Amino acid sequence: MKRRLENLGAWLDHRTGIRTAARQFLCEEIPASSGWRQVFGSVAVFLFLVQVFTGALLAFNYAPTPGDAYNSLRYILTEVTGGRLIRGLHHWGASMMVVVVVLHMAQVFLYGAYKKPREVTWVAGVGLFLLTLAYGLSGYLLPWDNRAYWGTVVATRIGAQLPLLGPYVARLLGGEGPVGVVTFARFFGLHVLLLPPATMALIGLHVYLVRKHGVAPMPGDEARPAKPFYPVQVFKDTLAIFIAFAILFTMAVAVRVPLEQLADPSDTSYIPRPEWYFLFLFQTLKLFTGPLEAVGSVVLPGLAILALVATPFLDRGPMMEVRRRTVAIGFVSLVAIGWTGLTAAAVAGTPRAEVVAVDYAGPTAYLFALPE
Amino acid sequence: MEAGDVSALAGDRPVELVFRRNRTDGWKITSQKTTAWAVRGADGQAIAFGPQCTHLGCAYHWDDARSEFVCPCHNSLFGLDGKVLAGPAPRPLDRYETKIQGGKLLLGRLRSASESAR
Repeated sequence: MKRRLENLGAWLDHRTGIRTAARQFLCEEIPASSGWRQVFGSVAVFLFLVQVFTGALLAFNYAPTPGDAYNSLRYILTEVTGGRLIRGLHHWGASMMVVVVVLHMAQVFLYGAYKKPREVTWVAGVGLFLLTLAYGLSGYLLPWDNRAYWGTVVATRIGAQLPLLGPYVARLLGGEGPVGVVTFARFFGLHVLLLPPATMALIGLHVYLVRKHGVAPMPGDEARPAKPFYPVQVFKDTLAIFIAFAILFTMAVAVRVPLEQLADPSDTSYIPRPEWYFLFLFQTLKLFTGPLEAVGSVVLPGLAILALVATPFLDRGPMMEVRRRTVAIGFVSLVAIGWTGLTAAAVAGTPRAEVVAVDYAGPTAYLFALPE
Repeated sequence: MEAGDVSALAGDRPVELVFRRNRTDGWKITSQKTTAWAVRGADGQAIAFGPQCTHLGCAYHWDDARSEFVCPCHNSLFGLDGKVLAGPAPRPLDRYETKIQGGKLLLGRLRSASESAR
């Protein structure tokens, strides 16, 4: 039996080169200093695959038009086998992906791993970060409940405020009028047709560049022998992925994702709030009034993205031990404090609206809930 | 289109009028529930404000205790005349064209306040 398997392996390798490829891939040498802090990239890729898989499962049961979107999501939650789990995984997976991508970026930033010759790897990473946020923004509308509708009203208005590009962005997103079928189709198309291949291409480029330049060495690594990626680092990555999935699965089962009432454009009592990771931007909007409005909605976020892209071109000194990178540590701390402060202020400033509980087990009256 | 009874309008607080109107939404024509906040102006004219905040389009509401229109999104405040009192809103509340016919308030297109003044 063993001989047979070996023969089969040899046959396959002869025709595909798969053994050589796997050996090449797994036996890549990584610096002696690498370890647990490098697991975030693998976890992010894993979470992306979870999103692709659960997203496809959702799409099999989902009607992508306003009104029907809501009804079909209720159908997923009440009728489809494992539907609530699938939606929970997709919803919390999105949040978790933002967290892990940010942790990955923070790690690379703190260690200065973006330095020459890894600038393009970093810029591709910034692109992946922005794509992650774009999924969050476009996916927010798809349940077509009140939360989705009003959140998107605000988001599209901000897009329409962009200097010069504003009117074009507004048209691309379905016009300046109320959010309706056109905007919905655009967001859905973006979310399921455009963003995933773009993400895959950019992940490909990102990983290719990581492999091309190798994992960034730290000072002291040149004196120590490099180690292979397999098996120790593979084990660490796998364990991190396992832990991440355990947390995700627990959240998907234990924390119910809200589905509010069907989107009602005439509801004047609804208090819209964005997804939690956008709350700091939402709070920033309040700080700039009148003619300064665009500063909060467009200028500051634009500058932040520009600063991220420019980071490896501004900080070009030699690699340093992470403990000596005080400016980087100070910067990350400042961003963390600023983000936490703004988010806390936004949460504190949100009046406790009565939670509209949707009775999942109730009669199927939703079948008659027509889009308004 | 007909939105409500003129006699219901007051000068000191607005009335939320709810009516249906047909709206072309992309490739669909939908009969949509719409609202207007109507008030009797200083000169006795009926004024009807569009239901969306001029900042980022959230639905605002009338706060009786403060006698102001309050937008819950970014805390824009508007007076009974639609003027911005505080917050990030860039212009006064938009107004519907109004017409009174046989005691009924008829609403036309929604225009910005500066257009309506002309």
